[in-house]
Amino acid sequence: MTNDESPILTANHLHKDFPSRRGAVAALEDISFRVNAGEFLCIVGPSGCGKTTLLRLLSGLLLPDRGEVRFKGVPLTEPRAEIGLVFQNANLMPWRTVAENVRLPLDVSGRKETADEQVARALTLVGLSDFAHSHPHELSGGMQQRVAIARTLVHQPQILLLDEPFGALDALTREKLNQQLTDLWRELGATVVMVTHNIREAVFLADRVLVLSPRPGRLTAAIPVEIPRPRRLSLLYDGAFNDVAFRVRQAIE
Amino acid sequence: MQEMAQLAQKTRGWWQRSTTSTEGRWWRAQTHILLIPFAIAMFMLLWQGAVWLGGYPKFILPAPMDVAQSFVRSWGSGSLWRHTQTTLLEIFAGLLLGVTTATLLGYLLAKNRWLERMLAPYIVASQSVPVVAIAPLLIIWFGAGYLSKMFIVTLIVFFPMLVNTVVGIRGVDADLRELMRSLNAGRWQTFTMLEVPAALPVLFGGLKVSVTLSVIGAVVGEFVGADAGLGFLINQARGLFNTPLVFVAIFSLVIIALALYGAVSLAEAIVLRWKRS
Repeated sequence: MTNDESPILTANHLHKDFPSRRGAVAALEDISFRVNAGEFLCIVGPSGCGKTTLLRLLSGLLLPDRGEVRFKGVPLTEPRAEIGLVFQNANLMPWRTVAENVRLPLDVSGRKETADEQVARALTLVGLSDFAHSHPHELSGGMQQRVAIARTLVHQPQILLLDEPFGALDALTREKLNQQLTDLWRELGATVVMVTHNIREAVFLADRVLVLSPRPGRLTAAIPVEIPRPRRLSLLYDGAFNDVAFRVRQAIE
Repeated sequence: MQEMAQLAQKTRGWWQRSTTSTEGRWWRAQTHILLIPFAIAMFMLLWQGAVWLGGYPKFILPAPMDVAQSFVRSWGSGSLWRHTQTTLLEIFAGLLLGVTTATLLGYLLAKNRWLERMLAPYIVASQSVPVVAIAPLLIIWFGAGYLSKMFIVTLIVFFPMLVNTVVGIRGVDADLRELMRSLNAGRWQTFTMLEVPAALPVLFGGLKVSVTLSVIGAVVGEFVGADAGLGFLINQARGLFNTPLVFVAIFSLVIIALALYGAVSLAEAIVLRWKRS
């Protein structure tokens, strides 16, 4: 892949506590890793290990209690347009049409001169040009999530952070969207960090899989996936693929 | 058979085409409007029947025709329109003042729990006193003119609008709030792009309650002390045993309330058309 070994995003000794009735509970402990430009990185871990929290830290939406996130060497203190976050649920505004939802980031940032073209291009990328004037409730769950991805792409972010974006969808739709996601990633040459609890999904998509332990979340392994691309669906039933998946599974225990 | 199908295709008539426009959809949703003339006719018939069978004198139960005559007379002399104008002015001024202040305060309360805890007891207490009980005070303070009625209307529409604003703003999806934060949206942008459109359905609910209450508020005020308005007209006509005129004033109030409610419903259908498509 296009690993030029220059980290675009680095996490340095991240700690994050969450308040609870019995005082602060550590959600993440001493997390350090780097994301290389152009890389597809997956972070897997059991439910409640702080995956989502970690992704929010990487996006600048949350600030760590200790440690820091650096984007291209600069400490990250707030969300920025170069880092696009896709949430667990599609999070579309029901009163806006598909095109208007995709346009939202441009409306907020006030960059409106080329907005129409940018929206059209983002919708083409996710294959939803024909639905520009539909409202979200007229779309299936998978289509809604693609709108959410288009909304993130409209700013042409350098990094795409995905929080189990297809978690709520059925297995077959999920497979198809994962395939489309890798195509999209190759086409855009972007960097992707995706969080998931699905090991096979992680191995199928990623150049590298990071494993988080149960609470408090700590990094327990970084497993490279040296399976050549393009990876096709048949790979899911292949021996080498299963070997890597099994290694990831063992690292979680 | 095939010809019939083609014919059916061609004659996809105005009622189907009209559904593509917003207003068309609204009208279609209001098909019960066709029932209204029927219901009115039934009501008139029952009314006339009661007059015939009971043989009541005019000042107890006037016949529909008596009321119609009274309407023509009071409209012709200009007095009905003058009183209606007064009441309308009170209603609109009170609605404007009540709805704006309640929406503004409601927004602040929804955003600030501390403020809510401080003010909530007073707001609830103010609602436990019937408006009729406060009306004389307002008339002592602001006179028998339209100003006191405006404040009575303001008071009566304030609470439902306030509660609906708080509920509407509190009900804004937390995930959408986070989305706006992830886009680095400012307060004003979050307000205009998220909070207002998200709360609008609930705000319209509050507005519907408010406009109907506003008519009651104006009449209550006019009953307690006034020199003009439909409530005043009812009081005056009652004193003169002019029961047909009482009926005329009541029907005028009903029409005002229906028109206000219909206007809000129409505005809602246009603004919230995304809910129907």
